[in-house]
Amino acid sequence: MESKKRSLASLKTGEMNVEVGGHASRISFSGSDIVIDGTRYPCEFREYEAGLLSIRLDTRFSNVYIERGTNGSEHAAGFSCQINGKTYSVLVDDARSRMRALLLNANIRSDTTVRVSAPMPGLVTKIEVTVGDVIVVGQGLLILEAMKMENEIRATISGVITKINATLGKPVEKGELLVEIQSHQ
Amino acid sequence: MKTLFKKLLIANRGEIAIRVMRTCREMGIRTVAVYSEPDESAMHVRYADEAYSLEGSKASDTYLNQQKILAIANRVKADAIHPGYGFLSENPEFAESVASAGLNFVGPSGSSIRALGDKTAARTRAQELGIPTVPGTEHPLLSEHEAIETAARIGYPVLLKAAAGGGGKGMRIVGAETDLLSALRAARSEAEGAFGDGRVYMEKYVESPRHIEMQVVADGYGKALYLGERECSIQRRHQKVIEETPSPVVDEPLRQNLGEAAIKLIRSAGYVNAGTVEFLVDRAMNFYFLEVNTRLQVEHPVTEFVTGLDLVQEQILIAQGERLSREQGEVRRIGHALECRIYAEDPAEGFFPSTGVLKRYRLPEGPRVRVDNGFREGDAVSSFYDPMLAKVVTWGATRAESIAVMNRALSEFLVVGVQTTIPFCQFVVNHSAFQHGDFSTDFVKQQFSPELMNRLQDDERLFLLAASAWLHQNGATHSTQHAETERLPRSKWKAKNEASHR
Repeated sequence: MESKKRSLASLKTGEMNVEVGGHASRISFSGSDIVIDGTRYPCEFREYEAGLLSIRLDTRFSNVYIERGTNGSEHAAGFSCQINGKTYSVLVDDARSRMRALLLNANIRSDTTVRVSAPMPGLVTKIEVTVGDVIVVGQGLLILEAMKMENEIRATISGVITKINATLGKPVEKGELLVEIQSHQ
Repeated sequence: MKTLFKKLLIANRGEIAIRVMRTCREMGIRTVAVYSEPDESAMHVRYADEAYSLEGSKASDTYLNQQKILAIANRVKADAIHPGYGFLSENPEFAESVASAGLNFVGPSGSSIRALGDKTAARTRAQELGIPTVPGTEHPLLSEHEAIETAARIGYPVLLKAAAGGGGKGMRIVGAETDLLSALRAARSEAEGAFGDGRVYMEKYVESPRHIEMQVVADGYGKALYLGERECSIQRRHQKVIEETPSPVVDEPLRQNLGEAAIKLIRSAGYVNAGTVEFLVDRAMNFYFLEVNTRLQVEHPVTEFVTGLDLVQEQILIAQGERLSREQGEVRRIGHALECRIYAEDPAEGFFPSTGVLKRYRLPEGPRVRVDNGFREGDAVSSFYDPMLAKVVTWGATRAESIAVMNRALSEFLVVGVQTTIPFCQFVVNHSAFQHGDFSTDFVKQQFSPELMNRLQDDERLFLLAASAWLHQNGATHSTQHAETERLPRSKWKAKNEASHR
């Protein structure tokens, strides 16, 4: 953790620390090139549809599927990437993420939006709240049926329901947004 | 007794239902799908000419509910029912109910299923016919004296197995007589403790066995053919994942022995239709009868690829009362075929089923590739049923070729939303022991680890790093960036030339 913080501190603008499979690399973009650990590759990126990237590095091509905003940490953006049928987690740190983390830690924002997401894949069998409802901690929000068990998803914070993303009778995946709650502090 | 089917009901779901319907379409037979509530918009329902709800979700309320299925078949005036595999396919009462309702069951008769589908009955029958079975005791060991005598007769190593068995409890492998009695006492007390039943059987321990099965077809006029073996030794949780034909270890004399044993067995039970006889084969190429699957197998496409036959068509023709049109000598086998089963499960988590929505789902294409698939992008993979998504089957003139085609096909298969056995299958087909044909049913236990499976190639790592960095920088406004990238005036050709002149 300490070494990570040090390497973060030394990041220049436009530079990123990208970690995959336990090894970190230093990456920056320079014109139409990408520089990975000091080696420069002419590159081209095409996102044919959300998340589906065709990439050229030098003269080689490959397809990567990449999912935004999954499994990040407090100061790194997390991606789930798939290449040749294999899935990996990738963490990206840069000066911007670091600033954002500092701001969040300093509690500068007075009200927070809490995103309640599905802890497991399942079927939404009951929705117990509607947008605008004032709710308290521990109140039931909806019921998710998974592996033949009913699981009640409860509020982790008191506030107002600002968004319901789940649909009755529809399956959701793990990590999918179900409800947004705005809390007042 | 010949009848031409006009309408056939498929009492199944997923890829196998579609696979049966495809042949029906080719034969000009109308297809009827049945479905559970979660499957209302599933691919097999939409592929059929007609589809009817079984009202309910659980398998026992739907695909296993004989009364509901028969009522629909009668109401829509179907001529025949194809059971696929699993569900009601090996249920003798169902085969009989279909027949007594005046319909044709595309499969063997109820009495043949009873005679061959019951493991103990089939083993006894095989012994009576002189087909080798794994030698052992037919009843629990009565005394220590009997244990010593039996082990001496069948030869070490022997396996002691709890009668109430399961999970390896009360099980001991004994390599020599000096260890026998202590192992027997340990097995008995362990079985007593675990199951409240200390009875123990003994059988010969087959070391590093291979699972090899023989495909047969038989018509209603006494003719039966064997269509070649399938090697199914790559298994996880005692279930097959990768199958191939021919087996890398079966030569023509062994093939003929397996084929003749299989035919002798099914003939003795008056078996009509397609079936599979399973064997264990040890290192010395001794074979032992295991069991009969009285239905179409999941892995039947590999046999179809090398013989050029359509096994579902053969099944339907036989059920219509037609004769097999070939002689044994006319069964041709060309090249090698390999199948990988793509399950929605996580190989890194003990192959635990993985449920979710298929956010991206791209099937492999191209020459020498066949994909039997039951899902589309956007479909939900629920925990109600078997988690198999698709089967990828490849052909090559040689085994090395079909492996290369498989490797290429698997790299094209994109599944996002659930974990799958794709990386596991890639691991296996790239493993040198697999490539050299040197493996047994212990392969997964001995060779597989999630760490080895997930090992990144250097160039894969570069592409992942580049993708993540690019997305991180462009993520927030990806649609604009996307448009700009698309509008870039530089062509790939120019970029390539630049790069090659560096």
